[in-house]
Amino acid sequence: MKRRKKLSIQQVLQRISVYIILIVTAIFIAFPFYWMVLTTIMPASEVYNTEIKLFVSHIDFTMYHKLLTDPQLPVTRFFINSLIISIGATVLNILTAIFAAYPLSRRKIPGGKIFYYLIVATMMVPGEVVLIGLYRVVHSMSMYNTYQGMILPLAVNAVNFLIIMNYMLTIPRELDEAAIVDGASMWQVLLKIMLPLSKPAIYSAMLLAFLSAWQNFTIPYLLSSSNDMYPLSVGALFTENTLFATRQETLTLSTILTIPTLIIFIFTQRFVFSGITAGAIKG
Amino acid sequence: MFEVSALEKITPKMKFLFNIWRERTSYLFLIPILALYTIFSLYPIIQTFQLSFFDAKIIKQGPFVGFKNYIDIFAAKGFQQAIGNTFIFTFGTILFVLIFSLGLSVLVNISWVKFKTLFKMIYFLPAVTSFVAVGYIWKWMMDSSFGVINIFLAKLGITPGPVWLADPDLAIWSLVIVNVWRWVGYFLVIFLANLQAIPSVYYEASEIDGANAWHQFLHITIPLLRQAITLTIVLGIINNLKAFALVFVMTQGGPAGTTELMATYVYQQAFGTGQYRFGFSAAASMVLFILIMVFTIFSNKLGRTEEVDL
Repeated sequence: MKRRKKLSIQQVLQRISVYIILIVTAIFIAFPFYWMVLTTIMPASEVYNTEIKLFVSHIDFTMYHKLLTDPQLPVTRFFINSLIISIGATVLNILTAIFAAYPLSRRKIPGGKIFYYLIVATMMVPGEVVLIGLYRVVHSMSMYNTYQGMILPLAVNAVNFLIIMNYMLTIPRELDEAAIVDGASMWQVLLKIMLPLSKPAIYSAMLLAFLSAWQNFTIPYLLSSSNDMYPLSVGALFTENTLFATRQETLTLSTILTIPTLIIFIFTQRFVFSGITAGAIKG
Repeated sequence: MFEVSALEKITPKMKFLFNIWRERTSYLFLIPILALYTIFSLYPIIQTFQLSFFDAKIIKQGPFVGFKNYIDIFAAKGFQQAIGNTFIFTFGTILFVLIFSLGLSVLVNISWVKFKTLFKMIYFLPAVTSFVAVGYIWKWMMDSSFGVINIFLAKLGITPGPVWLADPDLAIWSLVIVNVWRWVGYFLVIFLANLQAIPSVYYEASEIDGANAWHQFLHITIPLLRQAITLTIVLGIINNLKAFALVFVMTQGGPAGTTELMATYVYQQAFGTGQYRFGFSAAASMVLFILIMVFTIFSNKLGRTEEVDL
């Protein structure tokens, strides 16, 4: 229903004030990112300046060059570690979630409810809450300061299981029941029917799994202890605490840590948003 | 008939076993997730629970001490302070996040507002940013002499500006500001999805009845968002009671312990002081764990007490 009629002055004022609120908030939220990037590309001499300059006199990438080539500070290695850990955790998290969501959403399994609640209950026990226990478990399996030692705990993330499970519940049952009657095995139903039909939910869950693993600090901080194993988040803290980094160095590391997730989010925002809302259905 | 009499002999127990056998592939599919979640989420709780009754140092279990660790933590000044700080941090964050994300989502949802996706995206940016980066950005911006906030305040004539992170009365609230900034967009997205699900008929009908925007907000929007609000509170509690990285990066618990949170306290007692008091800090972990459980169950109950009717 489209109707174009002249707005009264009161309505115009109302619209303007709503836009002002929205835009001012947007500036307040985006400004810290701008300020972070700006600080990393200004000449080092201008960082401690008591004037607010919203633009730099000339763009200076010295700090990036310095950080990426500094032999004392393996930033490239931190970055690769972050990738390995996040991708590993994502793959493991999503695969286990798909394999569990299919039977739990489709079949009458003795004890199915119990398994479901067991999985969902882990949401109430984030790694931060059981630091000591987690540290001991990983240590006793001789996985302290290894990739697998960080990947396995980070792969525990029941929200993504819920996203996939909730989506599978919306797929009409006739589709897979017909296939079962025709003699298809569960493997075939999973691969040929459930997997292709659940693609949107799986994309969303994958993105959320990657983003949360990339951002996680506590688990790698607890479970790694050397330069060659640190992901970026821990590497940044290590740099600040032990190498007495300057503000500009720390912020450059923060930028390198932030940019990948921002880019991924901007290009995949539709899936990220649908994942957030889908995971939020069951509270 | 032969088949019928055979069926009659099937006892419930046989049927149960048959169902288990029929679902053997299902169980196979469930093994990976159950193994993973049991070893890396449930077993650590059991370990922590067990350790909380021992005088444990790192990997060594030490002698059994009963409830001594629990008595010690509740007597410890630092722990009491950490509980208080964690409550301020958690509920301060939830309150402001609720107000801002609810208010903004109602505005973004207005039918004539353009660039909805763009606003939503910008508001969401902090939610995909690592707490480590968030901490460093704001630590820099809140610097008392070179931080952009105080430079700006100086322009407005406010000198000297507040020492955001070094003032014992202010530090925890500075962290709340940062945390609210981090979470507003996340909950805005949840509220927006729920708002879009409200049929516009409700608003149109109430308009005919002469209700103004404020009445509509109070009597239509809020009741229909009840579930989403409950969810915000539950997620807010789980995410903020465990908060760790922000404090670690920005204040290290200072000044004078005024920003020490429960999770950072647990970590400091176990690894930070060089004493490796694992038993003591396991007991602190269990208190944190029980708090999360209690608050989650309580707010879930509260949100479900009555169905919304119009």
